[in-house]
This record gives sequence, structure tokens and C-alpha cells, in this order.
Amino acid sequence: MNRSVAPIPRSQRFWLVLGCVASIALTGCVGGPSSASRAPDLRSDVVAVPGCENGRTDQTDLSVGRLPARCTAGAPAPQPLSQPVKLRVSIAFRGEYAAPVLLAQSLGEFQKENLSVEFVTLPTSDAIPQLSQGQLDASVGGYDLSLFNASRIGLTVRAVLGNYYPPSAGDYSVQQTGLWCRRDAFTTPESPNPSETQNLRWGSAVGKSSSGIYYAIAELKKRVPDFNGDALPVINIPSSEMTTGLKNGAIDCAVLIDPVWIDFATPEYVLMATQLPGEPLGSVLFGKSLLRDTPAVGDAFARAVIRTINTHLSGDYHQDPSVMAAIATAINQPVTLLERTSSLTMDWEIRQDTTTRMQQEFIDLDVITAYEHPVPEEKLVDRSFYEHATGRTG
Amino acid sequence: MSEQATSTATNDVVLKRLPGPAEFNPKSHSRRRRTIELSLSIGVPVALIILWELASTHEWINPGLYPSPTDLLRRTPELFSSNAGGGMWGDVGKSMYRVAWGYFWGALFGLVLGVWMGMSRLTRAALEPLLAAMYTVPKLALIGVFLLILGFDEKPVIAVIALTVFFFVWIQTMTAVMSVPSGYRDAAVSFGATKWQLFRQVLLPGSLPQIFIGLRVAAGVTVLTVIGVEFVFAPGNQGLGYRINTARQILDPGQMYVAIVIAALLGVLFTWVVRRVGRMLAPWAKEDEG
Repeated sequence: MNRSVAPIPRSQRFWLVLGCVASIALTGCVGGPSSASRAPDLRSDVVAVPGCENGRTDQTDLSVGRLPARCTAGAPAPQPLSQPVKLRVSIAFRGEYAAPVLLAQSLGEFQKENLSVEFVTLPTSDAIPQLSQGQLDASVGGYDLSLFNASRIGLTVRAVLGNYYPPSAGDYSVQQTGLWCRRDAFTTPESPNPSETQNLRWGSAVGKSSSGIYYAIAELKKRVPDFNGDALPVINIPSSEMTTGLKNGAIDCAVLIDPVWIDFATPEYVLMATQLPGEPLGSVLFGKSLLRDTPAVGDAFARAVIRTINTHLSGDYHQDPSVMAAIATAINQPVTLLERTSSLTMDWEIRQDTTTRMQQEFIDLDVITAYEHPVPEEKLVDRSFYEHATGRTG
Repeated sequence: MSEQATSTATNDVVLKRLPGPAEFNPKSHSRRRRTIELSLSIGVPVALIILWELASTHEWINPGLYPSPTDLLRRTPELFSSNAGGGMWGDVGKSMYRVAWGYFWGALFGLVLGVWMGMSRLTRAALEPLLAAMYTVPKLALIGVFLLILGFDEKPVIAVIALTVFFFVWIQTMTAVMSVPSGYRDAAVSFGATKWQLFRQVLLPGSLPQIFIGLRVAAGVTVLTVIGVEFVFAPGNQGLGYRINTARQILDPGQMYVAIVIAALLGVLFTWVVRRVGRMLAPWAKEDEG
């Protein structure tokens, strides 16, 4: 049989294989540029945007029942990019909290900006290295210790948009997501004393480092001024087993998200801490590609998300069957399940010093031990994208 | 030995084998080969570590995400001396505790059932299909079931590890006992050996080297399993798997790499201990057995 290609000598094969492995490894480590980096558009100055006269609130306001920033439906108007741009966006898990981004895709708001978005499911901590290397463009999830550490080790990642807060957070007459405890764990089950909560066994999938534990402690400190979270007995339990643990008494308290808490809204259980009122504890993160390479594309992304909130997710959107159907499809859940809970207050703004307060609490709890002072907010948060989108600054 | 290929007019290839250095000077050739093998086994890891060091310090790769080996060495004492969450010593101790108990129970049940099923055809017929079906179930998936049955403490973790170890040891032990030539058994029986004597004098010596291979493989798997289980559930928030997973979640790559290296060392150490015990208890085994 004739061969047209001479076989590679044995000695050279080793180096060839080594070279291939090295190039694959380096490509994986350094990463290629995202499609966003090819967009030529320049970022405009912040100018007034019609319909967004109320598109900014006092970022220090954390009052119960505060109203979020809003523009009129359809605002801010689309400003399509000069050429199509494809973005890759990660979502920690598909839930209603991510509806602004998911609906911006399914209801065509990204398309109006000449954007197309590919979603991937990835925990925030795994998404951050990809964001910093430009392999992902944005990520939707909660504030995470990984964000604080990312800034500390010099990765280019910032929180650019908030996500939501429960409309009744801080109001204990309304049953809702939060820290739920067994009544029989308290000395007086008929009127549980919040101060006893610090001695009960809390369940958590990630120990004290979860944002749920953070807000529960922060909220309990408001109710019990001398509340001490340092010695809090937190028991490590997988998320999937949390409700079982609470029911069979392996733990006394657990942070229950929507709609899991509904099964516990019975006389045997009591809501001891709601989420913090008026304060989103999650965000959309941008990485190197949108922060540094093509901020104009980041502006278009923010515009589309904010417009989606103003147009489809403002007020009690749970009463709008078409929006509910869109959310149900996007997160692959039945509408009937979504209808069991209240509409979330979607909020694109980031409250002042949320990240500082979280870090300080985690430092106090010895969850953060690598540094003693919180990483400054300006290294973690970039509000310029929603300021450009709404035309409203400071 | 070298080879020379020549073509004949009819295109048939004739292969001639000529004596090479191995045949002319076997001692020197063997020494040279050992030196090359030793150099490669040390040189390749060292070269990779140097490459990693250079890549990180010269920022060919992001040093925040891929800290250099010297950075990791500097970090290690700090992680061990820290008291937060019991420190790394607490994690190592807790993982070793789980490894020891999980391995003990898994190996014990695996050995007993393996020997019994290897000796008894009826027991084999009764249990083998069931155990073979259970063998394919991913053991990590059973953590939820064990949490429900055994509660939220060390027991479910040890149960998952023990179950994983059990299957490795059981299969290897049963096969080892069954593979003892029937002639040996027949000879013992014809000399009037009791069941105990048959086991003690024939089956055990005949199968022990193979059994220790199973125990050695299971030792490595024990460490893999404990790390996996601690990713999902780590009572007391302690354990090397918990440490690795937490470091990943909070984006502290240095801590993660240190914990991974320690887990690897733990696996090597544990496998080595089992191997040494095997060589002590079965000194008649060949070098590559037991």
C-alpha cells in the first residue's frame, strides 16, 4: 500500500503531543476573546433619557416598602448596535429572580439592541474566572464571597445591575421567603423570642458563607440588638435535604426560598427573619469584555434588561398571564407554581454599600479571614451602565 | 535489539533481528535504562512545576487564578496554623477519620461476604445477582437516602464510603477465593481437612495476594469517595472535600490547590500503608501482587 504522508518519527511524536497538550491547556487557561470584543461602537455620554425621569432613587434608602426606580413602559428606547453582537451569559440557576434577563431574550428586547444572548447555567463562583478572562460576558446570580475575592486577586469583574427584593421584606405580618424555624424549638412556642434564634441549629448548604445566612443575621440584629452570630450553630446540610432536616428536627431553622417556604407556612413553623427590605442581594456581573473592551455593548445589554423590567416586570406582574407564561417557559416551571408566591420587586439599582455591609458581617463571623477590612465598593460595583441606560446619575 | 527491514523484488519484507546493546552489555544497558527511567520519573514532574512557576510569576497565566508553587508553599503553613473552622489540620483529621472508619467497615463486610460467597456456590447463587445490580448504582447518589435513614451526622458519610469499599473488596475477594485451583481444595479434602482448615491452610494463602490487590484499589477509591461525599455533605463543616469545595465557591484558588495536593498525598499514603500491610501478611506474593 502506498502512503502519501511519511510517518512522524517516534522521537518527534512525544514533542508533538506535548505541544498539543500545552496549547490546549494554555487556550483553556487564557481563553479566547468573546464576540463582544469585536463590536466597534463607542460609549456615549450620560444624557437624559425620555421616559426615565424617575429612573433613579436615593441609593441609601433601605426603608420598608420603598419604591424602586422605574421608567415608563418601553423606556429606555433601543439604540441598536451598528452590527450584531453575540453574548454569552451565565445564570446561577433558572429562577424567577433572573426573569429580567431571560425575558429580555424571549420577548425580543435584546434583539432590538442588535444583541443575541446564549445562556449557560453556572454557579457564580465558577462564572467569575470565566468573566475575568472574557470567556463569559455577563453572569446573573447572588452576591458571593467569590466576587469579593475576585477583586482582591485583581480579576476584572464588577456588579453592574441589581436584581430584586421581596416586596414585603421587613413586614412580619406577611408570610414570605426568609428564615423559618420550628416553633417547638423555642421556650414559648406560642410567642417565639427572636433572641433565642442564636442558640438554635441553623441549616445551610454552604455554612455561614451564604447570602441567606447573612441577611437572616442582619435582619435579626435589627430585631435583637445584642444578637450574636459568632457562635451560631450552623449545620451543613445539602440544599435538597434542607426541608427534610427541618421537618424531622435535625435542624431548627433554615432559610427557605420561593416557593419552598409555602409548605412551612403552618402553625408548627414561624418566620423569624425576612430578606432585608429594599435591598437586592444579587446582581448582574460584567466581566472584562463588557467592562473594558466594549462598554457600549454593556450599555445595550443594560438598556434591554431595564426596558424589560419597565415594560413587563413592573408592579404586580403576576396578574399578567402573558408575562407569567413567558417566565414559566423561561425557567421551565409550571405557571401554577409561580402563582403561589407574590411578584418580586425587580430593581436594577445597587444600594450603596451593600457589598461593604456583607463583607463586614462575614469578617465578623470569621467567614472571611483573608482580610480584615472590606474591599471598597468602587472595586466591586460599577453603576455607570444603569446610569447610561436611564440617563440619571448620582 | 535493532531491526533491519529489506524489500525483495517481490515486495515481501524480510525482518532481520540483530543483537543490540541489551544483549552485548546487559548490565550497563540495564543501569542506563534505570537511570533514564528514574530521571524521567523525577524530571517530568519537576519540569512541569518549573513551567508552572515561570508561567505564574511571568503572568503568562493569571497568578490570581493559578498561583505559583512557591506561593502555595508560602500559603500552606498559614492554612495549617489558622484556627478558623478548625484549620487545615481539622480538615485532614476529619477526612482521615472518615476514611479509616469507612474503609474498615467496607473492607470487613467485603472480606467476610467475599470469602463466604467464594466458598459457597449456593450463597453465590442467592446474592450475586442482587449485589451485581447494586454495584452499578453510583454510591454518591445514595447520600440523600443515607441522610434520611441515618440522620445528619458522620454515619451517612461513613456508610457511603463503606459501601463503595465493600464492592471493590467483595468482588476481588470472591474472585480470588474462587480462583484457587480446585486441585488444591480436592487434595486438602482428601486429607480430611475441616472447613476451617481448608480455609486457613489452602484458600487464604492462595487468595490473599489477590485480596490485597482489591484492598489496595479500595484504599485509593476511599480517598476519592470521601472527597466527593464531603463536597455534598460534610458534618461539622470539616473535611478536605469541604475545604476544596468551599475554596472553589469563594474563589480562593491557593487554598483549593493546597487542599487538593494534601488529598492526593493522603491517598498515596493510605495506599502505601495498605500495600505494606499486604506485603507483611502475604510475603509469598509476587512483587506486583498484594
